Amino acid sequence: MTDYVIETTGLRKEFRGRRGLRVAVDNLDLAVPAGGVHGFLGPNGSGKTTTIRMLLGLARATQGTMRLFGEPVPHRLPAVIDRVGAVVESPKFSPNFSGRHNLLLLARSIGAPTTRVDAAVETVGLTGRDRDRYKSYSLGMKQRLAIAATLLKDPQLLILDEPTNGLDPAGIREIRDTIRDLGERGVTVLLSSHILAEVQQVCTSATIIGNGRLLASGKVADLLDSGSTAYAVEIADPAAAARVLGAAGLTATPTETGLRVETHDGAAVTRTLGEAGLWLTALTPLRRDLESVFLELTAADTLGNAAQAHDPGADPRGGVA
Amino acid sequence: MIRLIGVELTRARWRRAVLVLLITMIVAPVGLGVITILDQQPASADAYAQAEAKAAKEAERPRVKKEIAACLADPEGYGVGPADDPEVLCEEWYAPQPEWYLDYNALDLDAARGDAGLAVAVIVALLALLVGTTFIGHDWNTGSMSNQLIFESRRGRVWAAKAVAVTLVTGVIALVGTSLFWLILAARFWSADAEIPDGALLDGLQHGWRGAAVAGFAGLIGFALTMLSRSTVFTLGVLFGVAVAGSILINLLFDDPGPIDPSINVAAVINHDWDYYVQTPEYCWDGSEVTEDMQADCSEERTRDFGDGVLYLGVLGGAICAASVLSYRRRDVP
Repeated sequence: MTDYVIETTGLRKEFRGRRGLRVAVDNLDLAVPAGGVHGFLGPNGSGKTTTIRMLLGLARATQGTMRLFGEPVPHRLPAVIDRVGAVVESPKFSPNFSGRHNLLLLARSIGAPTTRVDAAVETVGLTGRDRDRYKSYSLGMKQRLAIAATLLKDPQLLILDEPTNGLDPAGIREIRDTIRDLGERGVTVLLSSHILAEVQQVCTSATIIGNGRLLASGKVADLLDSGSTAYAVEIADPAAAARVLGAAGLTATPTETGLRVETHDGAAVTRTLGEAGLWLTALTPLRRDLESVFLELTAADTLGNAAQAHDPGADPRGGVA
Repeated sequence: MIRLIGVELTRARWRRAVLVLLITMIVAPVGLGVITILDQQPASADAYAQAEAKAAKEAERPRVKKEIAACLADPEGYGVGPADDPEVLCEEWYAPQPEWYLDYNALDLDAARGDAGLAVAVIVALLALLVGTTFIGHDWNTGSMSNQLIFESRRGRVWAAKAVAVTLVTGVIALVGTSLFWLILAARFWSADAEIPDGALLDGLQHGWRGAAVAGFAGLIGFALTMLSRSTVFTLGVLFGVAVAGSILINLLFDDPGPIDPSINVAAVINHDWDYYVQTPEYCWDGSEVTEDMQADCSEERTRDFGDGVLYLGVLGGAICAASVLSYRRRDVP
């Protein structure tokens, strides 16, 4: 049985405003297994931050249940919060205090020793600037300080909401390495990010949401293998090969180096061409990247919503993966 | 909990705006104390005896006697209410007093409780209110409240720790400020080798300490209201509106504003009973027959007891704090 560090069931969050009711999170079932780095993806306004805020007790769920380390939250949040480090949206500290003072206050509130502040500052590369006022920091330095704050607890679960926002390429790489390192050390990291290439490099599993609903979830490799896949075919006579493959029911489109064939079954391509006396020189599986999976899923969700908007009888919770 | 209170005390100490207000809570009473002793000085026994003699001589003048007699003959015409004692008031208002014949303003610790001492207590309480609202408004403005809750998720404890810290800081600093004020006045007596009337310094200090307690209460109310509104500016706006419009409304709607008006109740607590004036009913002065029962309402002067004032502030503070905690525990934190 898999141990889940984060579990939500039927999670829903509604906001009531002047423009009426807005559903930010809709019937979301989220399961983050223990260990490793889990990506949490979704377009802007898809409900990622709201979900994180509900998990941390900063916002109340309208409906549904949540568990952290098996404990129901927010009811039992105090029992597990010491094991959770989090950066939610932009870093939020007192601007007139130094970075170090901000960390010291947070460390004192949990009874952490000053040495842990020193260690956290060093880990995120803020040594030398930690005594400067927070308001004098660049966005990247603020992000580093926020990550340093999460390390004060020596957490078992780290929730990071866009942690590389504003960082320069070197900073992004450092943070990415830190996240990967934490994941390898057994810390479960929930990484919410828009930089899909980064998620693909760092994460072992991922959840994709759209309009507050779950679209897909699982290991990154499985997500990449799901849906349509294709093969690149290099062959002496691409036109003849395209005709043969087309007759066999396979879609083949010409490319600069040969053909692109839409299929899961690479062997079928080789067999069909061989039986026709056409011998390929190379057959390469074209793996999709996370970005195309993400765009495919979120585009489908958007289309689904548009269709529902024209169909008043449709179930608003339909289409959940 | 102690750890959290310690964190909040440190946060208050490191916050510049709060620090400036806290320093002002000491500087303002000291300044008022210095101004008071520059303007007034204690009357020596000799000087007071001479003034008393002058007053007694002046009281023998026919013009004065005639004035007092006229007052006693027509007390209502001279402003004495039906429920008041004309003998006492006519004497007090028209007979010469020794203080009138001193060459300088006499420093009187008993009188100071009702004017400069009260002013000090009110100023310190207003500053404490600003401390309370500034201290916590900063957490909301910067968004650091959510960060704090990720470290300590029990909102009730966070609220309580901050409330205790702000009440402690404002109360203790106000205690220092008001005590210094009274000690400066006492020092003026000591430097002039004048005798302080029995118990007058202790009464003054106790007046200051009650003022400090009110300042601590004001700090707590400023904090609780800002936790409710989540904005310093909004809280100050509401308080200003209540101070201006509330006072007008209370006086329009109630014949006796004592049980309702916050300023009267605050004064009752600081001064340990507070006399205030009300407009008497028409029948008291339009010539109607006034029965014994009705006469009680015809006194312009009313007294708000210390106990009533404490009860009033306790109920008001309890209601505001309860609403503040409830709101903080239930609402989403940005």
